[in-house]
Amino acid sequence: MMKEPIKPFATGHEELIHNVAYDFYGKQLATCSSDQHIKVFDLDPLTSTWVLNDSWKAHDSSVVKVVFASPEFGHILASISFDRTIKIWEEDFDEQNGSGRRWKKMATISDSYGPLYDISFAPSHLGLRIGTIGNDGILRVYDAIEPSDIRHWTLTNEINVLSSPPAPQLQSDFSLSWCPSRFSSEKLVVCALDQGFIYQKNKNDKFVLATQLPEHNGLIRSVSWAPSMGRYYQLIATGCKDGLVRIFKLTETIGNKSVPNDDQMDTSRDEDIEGTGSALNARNDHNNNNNNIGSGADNSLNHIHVELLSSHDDHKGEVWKVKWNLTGSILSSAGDDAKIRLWKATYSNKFQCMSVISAQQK
Amino acid sequence: MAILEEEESVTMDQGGIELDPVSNVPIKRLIDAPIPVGGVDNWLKTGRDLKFELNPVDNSGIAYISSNPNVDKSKKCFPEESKLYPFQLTDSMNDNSDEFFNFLKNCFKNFEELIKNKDYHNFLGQNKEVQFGVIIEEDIETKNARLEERQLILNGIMSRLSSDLDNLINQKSLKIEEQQDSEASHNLAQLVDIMHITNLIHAIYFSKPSEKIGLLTIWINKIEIEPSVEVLKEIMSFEKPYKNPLLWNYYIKKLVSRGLFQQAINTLKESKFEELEQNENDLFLVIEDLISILNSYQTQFGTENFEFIEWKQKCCEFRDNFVNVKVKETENLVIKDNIHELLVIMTGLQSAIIKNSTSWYECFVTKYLFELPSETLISQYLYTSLENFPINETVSDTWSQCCLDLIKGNYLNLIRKIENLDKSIVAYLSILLEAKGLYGDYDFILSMQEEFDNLGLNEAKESQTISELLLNDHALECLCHRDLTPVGIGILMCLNSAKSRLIISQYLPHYECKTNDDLEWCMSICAKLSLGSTASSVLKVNASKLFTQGNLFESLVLFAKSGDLKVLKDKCWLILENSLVKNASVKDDLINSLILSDKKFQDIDFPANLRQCLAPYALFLLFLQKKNKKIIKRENQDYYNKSLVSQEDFIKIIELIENFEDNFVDLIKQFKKKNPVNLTQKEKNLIIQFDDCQSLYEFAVCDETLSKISNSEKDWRLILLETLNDQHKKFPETLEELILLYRKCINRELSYAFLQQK
Repeated sequence: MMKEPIKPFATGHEELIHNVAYDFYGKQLATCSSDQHIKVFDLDPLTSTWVLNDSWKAHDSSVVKVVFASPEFGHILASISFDRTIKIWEEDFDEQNGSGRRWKKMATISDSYGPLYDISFAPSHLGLRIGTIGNDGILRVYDAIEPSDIRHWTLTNEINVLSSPPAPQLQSDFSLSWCPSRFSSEKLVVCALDQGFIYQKNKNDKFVLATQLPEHNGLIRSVSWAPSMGRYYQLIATGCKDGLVRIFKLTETIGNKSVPNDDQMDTSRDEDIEGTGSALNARNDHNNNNNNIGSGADNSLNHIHVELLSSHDDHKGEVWKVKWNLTGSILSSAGDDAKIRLWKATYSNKFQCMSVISAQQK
Repeated sequence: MAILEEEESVTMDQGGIELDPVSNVPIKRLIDAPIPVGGVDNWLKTGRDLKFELNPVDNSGIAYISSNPNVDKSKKCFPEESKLYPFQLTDSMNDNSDEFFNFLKNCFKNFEELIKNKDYHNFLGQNKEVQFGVIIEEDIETKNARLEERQLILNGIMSRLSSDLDNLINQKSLKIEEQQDSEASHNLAQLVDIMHITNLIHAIYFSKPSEKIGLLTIWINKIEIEPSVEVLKEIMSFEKPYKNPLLWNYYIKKLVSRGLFQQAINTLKESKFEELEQNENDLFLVIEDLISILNSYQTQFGTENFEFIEWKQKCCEFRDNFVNVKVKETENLVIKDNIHELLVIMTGLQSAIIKNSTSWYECFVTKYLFELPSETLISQYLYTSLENFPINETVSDTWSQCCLDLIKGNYLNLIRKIENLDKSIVAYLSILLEAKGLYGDYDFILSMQEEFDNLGLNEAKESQTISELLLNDHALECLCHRDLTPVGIGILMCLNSAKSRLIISQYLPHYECKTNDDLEWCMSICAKLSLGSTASSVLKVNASKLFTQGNLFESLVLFAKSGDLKVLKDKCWLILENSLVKNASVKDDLINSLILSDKKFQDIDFPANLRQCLAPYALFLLFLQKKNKKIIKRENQDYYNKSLVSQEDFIKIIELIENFEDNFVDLIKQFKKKNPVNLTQKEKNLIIQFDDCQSLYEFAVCDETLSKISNSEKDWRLILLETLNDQHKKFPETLEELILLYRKCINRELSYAFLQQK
């Protein structure tokens, strides 16, 4: 029997949905919307339908992202909003479904000076940790020092990805993704406007800029770091306003090599992008920031070589979302052609579009 | 950017499958897709965009309509726009059907031994065994016997693969007939292409010489059914079928040149040619002889070529004697002439074979059948066939191009093309080619040593062959389908490389253990591969899941087994905290009964570290059971004597709990809900006392009162403020909250004291 996909279902949100998140086992789904609500659905294994678990007003502005933590830490959900706050929620199994009290607010963090755009839990081997980026251009990393106590979060890293926030009248976008590999040093990629920055932890447990993702000619809408699954290199995909899905290959060299400084990085482009913010204009002077590269070389860091593996303009328009599957073998992208495209590498490491899912009726 | 209007640009393939005009790959559509036909441009103008999320455990996902949160919110959101649209990723698997999954499971079983420890690499290679000293004849004989044995193993594997593929295609064909599914038809067409390629590989490289004719015949006749059943019907529609010229000038020749000897004999026998015996005895005898010589063709020719040569000599004699055959009636001349032509083909005359053939593969097989069925002449036959029936590589079928690559020895091209048809089967075919030693010098396409050196991953030093890459890839795909996870893990375990260990260690914590057996399976894999930290992760993930489900004891046992004592302590203290705050035991009968009935400890897995961490809760549980502090003090002297907490503190706790064990605050609330007339005097007094306490507390923490407290005073409110962990350092608003807070603080103190003692 072909496995029939579940039919579309109404979420009941009164405004557009901004994000959907699965839990670790794909048995629970959280949605968030401009209607300031979060809704959680449970998968009924008997009927294969999604049943509302609970719905509640979570923020005072559009809720732009929800994410589940690894089950190692409990049933935890984090949300961010344009109201500048991060909220941590935990499911209370003693409360009835649909009561509006099923998910208890455990913490509210409000350090950001601007609307938040992205949040992501670090891979579980790094502990209970979240990274956020907002319109103030600051990457903030919080740790629950005691993972059993999610009421208290400590700001452990704060990095000015941009020296100044983008002008409010310009379009902007921010996103981040953690390196999921437990066999590689702690890293994450942060995209701010049209630039992608890769940060890695130094011996002082601080994130420092390691390298950049080159070649973007517009706002980066989405970034996804692939599970490495035994590969000796890492893959990162970006979806960009310039219409390209890009796949980068990162190879790391352990220690004893200096990390490239800003001069070595791609700073050759100086054109601004019409109507959009550009990180080049707003980019921080990393050499003056203690949190970043500083003196330019840190022997404890791995050298990361970035190579653009392939770029694809098949969407013929803006690319809004990219995401790797569980094994990092298939990349999915969605764009202005209202299609989801699936990309897979051949044995010769060339990515090819292998199928398309259209949101347009036949 | 301009968006292509899809209704104008969608193309169809030969099977009626919609193809994307940009990528030229099949398009699927979301069920009840939200955007009307040709409506993408208008949809974009509303500021909407398409987004999705992928399921972390399989290849499914959810698509949804979204927009930049900054866009004008005054635009109305229609109900369809807040729907979620589930979809299935069509991954590199040809399909997600049960039939296909079963086929892949069979493939793994079939190849398991060959994959183990990468045995397929150089399976028949000469350098498999290094010999020292003088090589004696006996060694060579032993080695040859072993090689022959190994070749037979490969032949058997190939034969089973071929047969499984055949079964799969039959099953799917039947299903498609019932369901009329165009997508399934497309998948089937790709499988059929692979079958043609597989059959040829089987015939050429994985068969004994005596099997080759039979396998080539199967190959060509699966490609197309020639001559067609319609032709036979037309011939048989004659009262005397032998009088139908089509029988002689087309039908019999086609059957014979495609190796269908038995069908040719049967047709001749059914043609009623016996009546020629009366008037055309010569012709009758010729047909009899033809049947006889066809009957004597053995599909086992090839083992010893002299048998074939003998047969061919007979055939030549027959052909040479044919000139003496007299035909009385002119209408029978067509029979005589065509039999002669057939005999010329059967004697292997190249020009006659080419004249009779309609395709390169037909010409190729006929030459193999009748010129000399020898393996060494295959490429020569192929080149002659291609010279006369050239392949247009841009328009010809994929299978045809693949067969060409195979015969020419372009194995990399071949693999690349099969990979485009199906990324699972290609892995198994590649293993066979590698095992046969056909990849020759370019089997190691990726030497990763340098990269691993750079990474400092010494244990991961290794090279990868094409087959290993494809197999790894296939294993990863299997891991995305729960039904195929054992296959994926099985492949990786068989490969037994550092890379496959890395993959398994990263994957296993994501595998959902639905039953204890699943968990045991994960643990056994970790044990086999010595993946200690992975086992710990798997245990912790499953322990957390059980904890949230309320299966506390099972959860704690897993936490204990994971070796993470810190988490175990946290969870045990969480249990104690909840119990203290609720003034009741936890809702887990197992854990409570185990604690209260120590005898059962012997029969059940109750790790020592768990017993230790649960001691405080055990003490509390005993207290709850006894309900008498004197008894508690006496009977459990041991517990607090073990310096868990001081006796004084312990009594404080008991008193606190005792005073509120009837849930005093809730009781007051209930009294307040009642009609005052129905309340007893005692209840009324309690309400008054509580309200007085509440008022007193509110007075005590109001700003005016607080402003009068000197910082130097050891006032309880200042101490409370210092104790409060809350960011805002705010007093609890009600007396009820204050009581709860005190309970938590006491619990924290208890926990801290316990941890300090550890």
